[in-house]
Amino acid sequence: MILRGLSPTVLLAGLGVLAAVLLVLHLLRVRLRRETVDSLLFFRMLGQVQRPRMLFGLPSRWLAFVLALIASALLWGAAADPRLVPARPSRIVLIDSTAAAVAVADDGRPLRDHYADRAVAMCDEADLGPRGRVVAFGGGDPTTGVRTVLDAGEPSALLEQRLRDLDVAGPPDTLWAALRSAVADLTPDDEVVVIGGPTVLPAAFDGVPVRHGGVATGRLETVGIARARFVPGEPTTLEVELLRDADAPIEVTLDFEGATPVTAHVPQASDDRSVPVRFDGLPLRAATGTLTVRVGVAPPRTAHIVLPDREPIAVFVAEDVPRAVHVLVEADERLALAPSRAAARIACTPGVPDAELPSLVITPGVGDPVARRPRDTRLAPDLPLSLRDRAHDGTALPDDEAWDAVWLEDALTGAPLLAGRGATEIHVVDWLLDSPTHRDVPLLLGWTLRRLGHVDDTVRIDVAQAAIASGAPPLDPADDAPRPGPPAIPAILLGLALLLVAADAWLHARGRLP
Amino acid sequence: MATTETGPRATSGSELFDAAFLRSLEGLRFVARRVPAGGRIAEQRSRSRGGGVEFTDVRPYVPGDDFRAIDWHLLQRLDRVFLRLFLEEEDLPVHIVLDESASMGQPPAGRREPADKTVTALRVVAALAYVASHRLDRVTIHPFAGEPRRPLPGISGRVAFRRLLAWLGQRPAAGEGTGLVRALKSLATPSARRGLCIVVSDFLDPAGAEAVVHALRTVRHDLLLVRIAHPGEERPALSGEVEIVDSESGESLALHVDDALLSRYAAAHRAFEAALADTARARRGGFLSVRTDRPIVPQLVRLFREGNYHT
Repeated sequence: MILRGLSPTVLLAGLGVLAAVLLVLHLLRVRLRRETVDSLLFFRMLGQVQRPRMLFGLPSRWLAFVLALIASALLWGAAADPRLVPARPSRIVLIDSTAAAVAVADDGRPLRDHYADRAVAMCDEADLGPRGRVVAFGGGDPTTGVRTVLDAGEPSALLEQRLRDLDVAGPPDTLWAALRSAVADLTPDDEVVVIGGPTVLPAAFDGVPVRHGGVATGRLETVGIARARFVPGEPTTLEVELLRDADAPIEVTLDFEGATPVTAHVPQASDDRSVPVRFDGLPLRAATGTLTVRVGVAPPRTAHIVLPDREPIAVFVAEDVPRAVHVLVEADERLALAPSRAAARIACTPGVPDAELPSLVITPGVGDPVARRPRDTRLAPDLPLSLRDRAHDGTALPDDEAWDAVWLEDALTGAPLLAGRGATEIHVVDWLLDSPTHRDVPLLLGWTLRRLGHVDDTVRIDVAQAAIASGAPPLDPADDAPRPGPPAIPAILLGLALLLVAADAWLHARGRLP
Repeated sequence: MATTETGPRATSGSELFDAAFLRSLEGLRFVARRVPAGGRIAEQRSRSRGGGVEFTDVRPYVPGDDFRAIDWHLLQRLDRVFLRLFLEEEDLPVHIVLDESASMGQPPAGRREPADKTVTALRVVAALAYVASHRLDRVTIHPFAGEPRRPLPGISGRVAFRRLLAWLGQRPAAGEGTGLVRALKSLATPSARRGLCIVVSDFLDPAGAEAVVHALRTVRHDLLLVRIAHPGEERPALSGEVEIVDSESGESLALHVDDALLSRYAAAHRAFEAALADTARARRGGFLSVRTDRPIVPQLVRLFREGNYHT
């Protein structure tokens, strides 16, 4: 037996409260009705008589107390909505009736026919159980997106024709609504079987086992993106975990705005459902990026996610590095000053070797730094605001910082700054954004990706799905809602409670109850 | 605490004993089952065989017998002397004990209809006294409440009955406790000639049922117990949490009345009446429960027809 209305704890606690309240009410002193009789002779002859109820005394009318307690317990039990769950497990079959079901399989038949055959075979093989039913997901109620095709207790002979008459409509995400609806009536001993296209399914949903019905179409392949993250401290490396239920090759494309897409190929015929893909050497300058997974050939199925944020790049700036580098790193939110042991990048001067990390080695420039002071300074639109405020025309910078900037200009370009070519700061930023990542190349990296907003790092499965036009008429919403089982036990409890109340009234009318 | 409400009754004497009631008494006859020998001749038949007019038997003559009673026909036929025996008729001392306690004026418990046992008791006394006095028995009425009250001395004959009715019509309303035991003990004087004692009461003496039964056994007369009862008295119309108050003593008792208690109450009530009936039978008498909601005379006729008394 399961309780659908109240948890067992609440049920027991409520029963205790009811018993306590009834006991107190039963013990309360009542106002005595005064009656004059001709004599107390016979009442005294009765010996021990029942005393009126008293507070802080034992209740003397146990029958009335027990009747009230039982009636209250029955009503409370009915509120708990108990349902009998036979030992026989139940199975709810979810069958795909979305627009994808009209796709043609290898044998030329629509996929929906394959689904119907599989569902009928499954119902013929084994009973669906007391709460088992066949539910089509897709179309129907826009809230639930499900339609019951074969209800509990109905003969399975009705199933085939009903499936043939079933319209298809709606997007594939109604599967999750169907799963939520199905597990509401099931226990962990039951199961949900999904018959449809290749789909990455969870092993269990709310504790109820979920499995795929095993329809092999040979054309639809599924792949999902389980996780995509930049390696901490390595913003140029993206790790992607794919979930695949396909034998077809998978192509993963990383597409940054303003940068050339990077493509990786996953070989087919892997036994593992989880496939790691790693992208190294990603451009840092690019900002918004999406990850696209394609599987199959005709038509291709794709899945997209927006890339998560990158963490600030930890940069260790040596003390003898010009002050301008400190200012740039500190002002840009995409960079973070860090001690040398936690840094991913190093900015230093010659003579401070570090063989492990990419380093920006600041080397002396040539010529007279003062003479190369920029005369036409402009600020890049994405230049950090604090830096822009301080160097709007170059003169705002302190002399030493201005010098450093010019010096850097020289170091980057290898040539004296030419008037009209651009502000020193702009060149510095451009160089910073486009710099390579390997060591011993003067200047550092970073700042390329804008923050893209918060992206949940939890596992997320997007189902690659063929886009098929939908032309199915709307379904009758009357058939959409899942049908609950008959509320037999609550009705019985209510009936018993009413009988007890009637018995109590009958006894009271005859003076057998107070 | 005994109440002392002794004012006049709401029912006057003329209302108590109207013409219809008096006419209904004409058919009653009261015959005692046994009258003591030696009493004055009355219209009662005695076990004594002597100078009456109704022949009953013969016996052999013994010296000293009255010659006037010799059966001369048997002497001629059998040549032996037999004496004719006649049933001697004597008067019957009738003592009527009348309960005037407060409980006699109490309506049924839990009911609102105005019913009064006193009226019924007075009519019963009048009816029984009518029969007895018209048979020339000597009727004495002993009223009592908490204590025995001044009795109405023995009366006999039709003329005296009118005086008895007037006396009954002036009885005060019920208003004191029940002193039945003391009233019965006052009748237990050894010198009193043995007769018939009629107790008209509800027998609800606070001394208890056993004390009442014991007191009845001390009475040296034959007993006719007439219990005045309200309809349904054996099962009061009470239920739930009540505080019942004794109409005589004012004592109260808080209790819960349910079906089980009422059943036990009815059983105690029946046992008490059975004890009264057994006591009366042991004294060659009878017991009758007279309901206040029914006519008096038919109930008394039933007593005479079914019991040891008949008209």
